[in-house]
Amino acid sequence: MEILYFIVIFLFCLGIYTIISQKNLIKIVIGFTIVESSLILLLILVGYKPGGTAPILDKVYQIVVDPISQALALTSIVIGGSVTAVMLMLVIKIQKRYGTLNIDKIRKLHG
Amino acid sequence: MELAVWVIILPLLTGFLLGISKLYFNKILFPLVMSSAIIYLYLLILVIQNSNPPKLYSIGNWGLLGINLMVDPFSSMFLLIIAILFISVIVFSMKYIKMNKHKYFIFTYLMIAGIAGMVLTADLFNLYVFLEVSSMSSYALSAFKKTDKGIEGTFKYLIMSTFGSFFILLATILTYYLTGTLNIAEVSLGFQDIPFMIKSMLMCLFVFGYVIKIGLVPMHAWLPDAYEDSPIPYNVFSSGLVMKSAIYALIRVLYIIFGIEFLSESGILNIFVYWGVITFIISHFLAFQQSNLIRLLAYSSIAQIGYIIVGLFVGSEKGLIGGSFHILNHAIMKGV
Repeated sequence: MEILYFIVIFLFCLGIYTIISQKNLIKIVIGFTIVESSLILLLILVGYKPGGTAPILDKVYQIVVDPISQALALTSIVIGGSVTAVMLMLVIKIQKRYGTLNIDKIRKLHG
Repeated sequence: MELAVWVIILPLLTGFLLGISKLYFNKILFPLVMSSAIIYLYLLILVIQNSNPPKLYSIGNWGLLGINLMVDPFSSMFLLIIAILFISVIVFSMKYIKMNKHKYFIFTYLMIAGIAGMVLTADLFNLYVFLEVSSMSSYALSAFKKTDKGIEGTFKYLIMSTFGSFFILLATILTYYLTGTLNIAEVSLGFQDIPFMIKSMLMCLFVFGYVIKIGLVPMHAWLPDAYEDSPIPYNVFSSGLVMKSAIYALIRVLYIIFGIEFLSESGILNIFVYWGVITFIISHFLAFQQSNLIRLLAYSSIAQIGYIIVGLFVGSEKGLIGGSFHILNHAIMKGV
């Protein structure tokens, strides 16, 4: 059970390392999706109760998993998806104008 | 329905109606925008006048289990800023934007809906969602002119701002894990039993996430690039509203959830005062070397944010009043 929290921490740090250290623009966008996935995984893990089933409103199921965190996770998935879409659209525009995807060479703004 | 809910819904409705009307009636743009702006101003004035005893609206009558909206005098100051900036931006951009008019107004209305939602909510996750809504419209607006410099500046803004949002989301999830609820008032009740180290770690995560969006000195690098080639009415909004709503969220989170005793015990107030002073000293020095007027104004914005942070975090009641008044001053001055 604790190993899942370690996986979340590992994915979060891996994603942040990817954002900071990669030079290709598409790899930076991939780093963003990794961080987003790790946070959604954390959100689902928070609502877990041992022995619980899916949150269905019926008298048969006594111990259910927390449904609020699943609703928050759905909202986060939507937000993460739209942020990725906007980023990829800007990457396409940059590729058309500058001709390169290397982040060191996109430096027309100074100061 | 309640008035406060209409303050959030009306810009969204107008945005969607504008999107539909682009396909069918092309000439309905000006009447629709002006009538919606006037109705929205009237709504805002009504909500501001009724706000002196703070009111709480439960959406869907779910009580404290669901989302609540709260109008109190601090929020109504921000609604006043929205009202003043909104009408001037709409009037100015009627003449200034010559092509892609429908898209521009749709994004502006979505951003207003996001900022109004952020100012009126009493729920932590709702704050995050509306922060993302307003940020996303802001990214789209700042890349509106499709020039080289505009797109590069928007990309830098996008990356740094999303990086900050991740830390805000992480801190919100950890708060939900610790207290089991997301209503701001209930979280502040539940936070009294939690040990000092955990609270200070959560505060560091929240502060780091919000400071990237506010623009204090090491994280200000996106501001001049995002301002450089974006449409001028958007510059008014961006320095007036987007950063100020992040300051609003930071004050709500720090002063209400964490409480004033914890803040003065942990020394974060001193750090913020030093940080504000460093911000405006460095930013004024950087502003001397600029030869481009828009970048000069951007650095001046960063400096004013530094003054606001100093005023807000001195820790006394007069400091808060002074800082909030300076927010209003700066918003109007940058608009003009």
